[in-house]
Amino acid sequence: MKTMQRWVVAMGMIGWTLAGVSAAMAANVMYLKNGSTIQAKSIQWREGAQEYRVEDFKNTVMPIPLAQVQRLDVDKPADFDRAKGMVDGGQAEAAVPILEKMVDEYRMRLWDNRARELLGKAYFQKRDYKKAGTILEDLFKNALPGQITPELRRFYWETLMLIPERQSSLKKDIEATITSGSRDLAASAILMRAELYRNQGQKEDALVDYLKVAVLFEDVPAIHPEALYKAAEVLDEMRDPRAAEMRKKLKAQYPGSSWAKKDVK
Amino acid sequence: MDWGKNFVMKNHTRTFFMVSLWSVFMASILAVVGVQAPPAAEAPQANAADQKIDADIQFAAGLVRLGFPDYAEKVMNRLIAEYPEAKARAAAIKIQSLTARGKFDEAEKLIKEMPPDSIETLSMMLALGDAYYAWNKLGNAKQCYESFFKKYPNGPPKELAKLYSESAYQFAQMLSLKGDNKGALEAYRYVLMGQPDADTERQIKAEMAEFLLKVGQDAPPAERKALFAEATKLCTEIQWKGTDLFFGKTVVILAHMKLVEGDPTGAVKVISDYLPMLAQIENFLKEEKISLKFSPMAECRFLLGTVAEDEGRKMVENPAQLDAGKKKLAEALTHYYTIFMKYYASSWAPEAGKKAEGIVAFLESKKITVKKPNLDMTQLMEAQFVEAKSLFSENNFSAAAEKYLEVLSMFPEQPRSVGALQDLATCYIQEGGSEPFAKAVTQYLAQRFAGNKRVATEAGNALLNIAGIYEGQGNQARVSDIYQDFIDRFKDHEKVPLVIYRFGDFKFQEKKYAEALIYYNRLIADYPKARQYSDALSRAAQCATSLGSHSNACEYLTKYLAELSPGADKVAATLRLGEAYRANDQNVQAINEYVRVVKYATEEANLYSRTPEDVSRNRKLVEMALYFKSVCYTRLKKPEDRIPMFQSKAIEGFEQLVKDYPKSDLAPQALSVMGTLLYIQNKPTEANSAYERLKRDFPTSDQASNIVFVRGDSLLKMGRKDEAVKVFNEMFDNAKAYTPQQFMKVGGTMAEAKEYQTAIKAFELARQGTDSNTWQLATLGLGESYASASNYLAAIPPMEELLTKFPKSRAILNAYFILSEAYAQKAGQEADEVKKREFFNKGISYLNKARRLMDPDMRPQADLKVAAIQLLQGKTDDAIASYMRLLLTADLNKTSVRPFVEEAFVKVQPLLIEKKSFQDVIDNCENYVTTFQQGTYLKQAREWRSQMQMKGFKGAGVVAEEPPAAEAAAAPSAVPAPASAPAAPPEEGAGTAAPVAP
Repeated sequence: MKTMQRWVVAMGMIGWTLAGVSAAMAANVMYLKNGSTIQAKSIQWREGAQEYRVEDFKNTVMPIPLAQVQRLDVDKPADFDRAKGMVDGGQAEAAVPILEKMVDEYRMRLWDNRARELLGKAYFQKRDYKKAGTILEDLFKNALPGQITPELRRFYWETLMLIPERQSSLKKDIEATITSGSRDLAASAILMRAELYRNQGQKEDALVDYLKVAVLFEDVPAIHPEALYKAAEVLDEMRDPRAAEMRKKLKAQYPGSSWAKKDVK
Repeated sequence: MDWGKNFVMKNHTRTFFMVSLWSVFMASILAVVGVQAPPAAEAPQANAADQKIDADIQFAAGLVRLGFPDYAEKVMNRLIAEYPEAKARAAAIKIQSLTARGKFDEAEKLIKEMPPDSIETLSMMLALGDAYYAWNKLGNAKQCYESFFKKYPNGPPKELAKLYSESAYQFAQMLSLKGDNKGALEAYRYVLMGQPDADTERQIKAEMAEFLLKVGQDAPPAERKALFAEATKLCTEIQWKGTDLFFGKTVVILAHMKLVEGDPTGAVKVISDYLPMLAQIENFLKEEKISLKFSPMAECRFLLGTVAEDEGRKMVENPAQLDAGKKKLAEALTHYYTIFMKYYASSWAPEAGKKAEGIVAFLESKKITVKKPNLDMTQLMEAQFVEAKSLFSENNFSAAAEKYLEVLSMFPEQPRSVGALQDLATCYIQEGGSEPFAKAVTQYLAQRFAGNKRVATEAGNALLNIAGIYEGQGNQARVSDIYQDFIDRFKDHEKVPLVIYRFGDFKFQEKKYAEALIYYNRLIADYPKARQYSDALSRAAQCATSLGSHSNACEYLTKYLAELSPGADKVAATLRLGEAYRANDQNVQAINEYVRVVKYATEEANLYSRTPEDVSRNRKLVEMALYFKSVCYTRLKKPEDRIPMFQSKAIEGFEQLVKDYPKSDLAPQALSVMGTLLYIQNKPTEANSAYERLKRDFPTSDQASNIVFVRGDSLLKMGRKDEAVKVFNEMFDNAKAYTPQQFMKVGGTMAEAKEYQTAIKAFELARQGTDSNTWQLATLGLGESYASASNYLAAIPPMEELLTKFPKSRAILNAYFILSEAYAQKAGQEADEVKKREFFNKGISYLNKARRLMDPDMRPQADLKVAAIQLLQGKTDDAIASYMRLLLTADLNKTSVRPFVEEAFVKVQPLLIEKKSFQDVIDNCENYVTTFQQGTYLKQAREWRSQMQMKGFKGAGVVAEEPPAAEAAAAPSAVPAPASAPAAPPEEGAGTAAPVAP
């Protein structure tokens, strides 16, 4: 009996280990809205039927409508890291075809949007801002709310700022975000509006917006130091001696921030 | 024994309470008016408007805290424009932002517009009182506070209780500082009426007991008894509730009351009885590592020392009690030295030190040796500074000055010394009769500390503060001296640009534009990053315009515009630039600027006309721009074949003005010029339409009443003199249809245009009326026109007729000048020596009569005339002497005199050259170049100077000339036109060629 028990335990451990290995190998998981999960061998998307085809490890293929899906975990594409390295290294031209293929192949399977984000950056590097803007808009259409980070949104606005014919839609988007976005997005949006004012020579309006973030968004530490820095910059341009006080506050409050370490122009 | 002063402002805990109270105080005011401190309120609001109002008010409050009250006001103004219902809530912030910038009148006006008894209004009134206090306007502050407390004589409603107590406390401190102890005591009663919390109540009672003692000790016995009884009651209440610093305070108060009542033994007993508790308090301070300056022991020991000293001194005087007396004094010394060494930071230490020295000196005078302990002087000196400051704060200036001198002689150049020197100078200023001392200290501060990097900023600030005191006294001369010292010595101080700007402003207000320009140029050149940079450019442009240097004005304005963001100010500055170009005869550039003005105010109104005030202001500017744009078109003369097109453009512009702004003040003139242009273009029907409209829409205007004159005047302004003369001849041919006043106008206009013959005809006709004033003016005009046409002989009869008929005429002075010149000319043409002499003498006699009538500042004009006559007489040396006297003795600080001095310079130089007085020539040149840096004859002066230098002469006492930038500024500079040919005004459209620059 004891040997039998030991054998069962050993097999269970091996099984457990195999299961663990399988789990490590099979990172394709579908999480449904009803709380259940499906460990999948593969997950495919059917555009026409607007459903996923999920093949589990028993080789059963199940069609799952999009409406039932909460989220996915999908294996990272083999070329993703290489493409990311290319974009980060400034080799946008080489990265584009890889990323475009990835967007296609991984449609509606998580990595399409991550590829889109990199693709947007690649086109930005190539100064094809229109294309970059279009790609980012596709990303927003296809992304889940949590996937649209403030940094991504900001990048999108910065892209639109470089497309003359998109200025009015940029302003609209910024205003909408200020009114109804989350606090961190709203803070970013106010800063963007300030940049727009500054580009048009409206220094006072730009300053008011920087001060708005400085006064009302101290709880958004990702944005707050930037607002203090840029307020000081504009104050310098306006020859307002309060620029020095603003810099002092920045250094005192965020001594380790890159904004505090920037040189005065 | 004077305890009185020792009980003022010696409560450290009270100071701490005040400092921490301030932020609580302001927060409570904001809380009352519904302003929350950040982060943003969590509760959902009823609608979007409320959300926006809340957010903006929160933002504005934050801006004030951050040191941006000006932007807070802008935010509130925009909020009120969008949401008028937010006015009450916005008002509190506006009060803060206005008073932060010293705009008290506006703050008071704002409060008057609020409902009188609302909580918001009361809170604003207190905020205003606080602000007055912060700005040292104590009378105004008192008024604000008292009107608040009088509303609640029996205590405030609950919702105001906290604010009420805190305000009363603030009020009490204010009165105490002014020495109004009775008032402060009453204010403390208000504090208690607000029913503060237990801890605060305890502190208040302790302080109130102090004031009861203070007031009581100077009161008559019956009143004192009641006050002391109240103090005792308060002390007992405090003692019952705990052993802390306030407990310690009550011990001192109770002991002190005994002393005042003449019971020193009782006082000592009080302290001895409470000694264990006092020791307990001190141990607590030590354990908590709190400074011993708060310990009640210092004060108690002082009291004990004083009692022992009094007794000891009496005993020592009595030989039978000498030993006992020495012991007593030793006891006193022990107390004093203990305070000095152990409680050196306490406010009692300096006094204890002094008292100890007093005892030592007393004993030594009795030949009794005293062994003194080793003392740490640094701590003592620190304490001495504090004491001096304390005396200063009490406005005891003579004692404070003495104390400061004592301390500064020991520590002359420590960082603390700067503040002490400022206070010392202030003491001398406030004392009156000590001005030389004040001046000495101020100069020492400037000379000694400007180069000391450690304290230079502080020293500069101290200097400015001293200047501020003189300004408050109206002593502008000292203010100027100090400012000059400041800007010369503290070149790197952040406030130098502000002071230079103020200097320029002083001169500007006095209309001394050339001198003002010196300061503005300095600011522009040396401080391009200063906040006042753009304002200096604007002012410099105004100065240049006033001095007639229009090209310089254009340069300044161009730079000024580069500094401005889109807004109403930019529109106004653009118009100014257009005006400067027009005055400088750069009509193409002027047109471009006028077009820009119109574009800003119409097509880009969202950027340039944001408020109703902007809209109204810009409207006026657009009218001017449209009018003067057309005027500039009328002035364009090349290429000649395009003149008709220019005229059409002008007509178009006038039409637009009249169409868009039919009620404009410029509309009548526009219509009259338009009429003239249409006549020139052979469109009489349209021309008459314009004139008919002028008469119909503006029947009372000058232009409507004299269409013919207007036509002639317009032609003259367009530079068409011959045609203008023809038109005026029409008037002469039909003289009966016109009035003498109309002929006067013609005469004046033609004389101004140097068409003297026509002017003469007009004046002759004007003299035919019956009005004596018109006759006198016409006669004078006639004489002046004859003189200007160099027909002096013809000028004599009408001038002498004027003198005969109207010897007291206002025109007499000018008549004298004309006659003096006329007779001099007549003498010059006379061959007979006797008659020649007679005519010259007559000329000089008229000049002397003129001199007697002249304003002293205008007498240099007579000197010039004398010199001119002397030249005609052939008396060159006398003429040179007259010119040189003017050069040497004229007061150049008077703007009115400077043109005459320049005239004398340019007249005397050729005479000196002819006489080969080359040294005088070059000396005059050097003086001119130094004194008239924007002078009319600067170029000529430099040329003469160069010529003299080539002959080997050097100017005596040469002062370094302004660097080349000044030279560029002085000479008519190249117009800062665009790199390519002047662009067509934006409104021209594709088919029209651009006007070519003349």
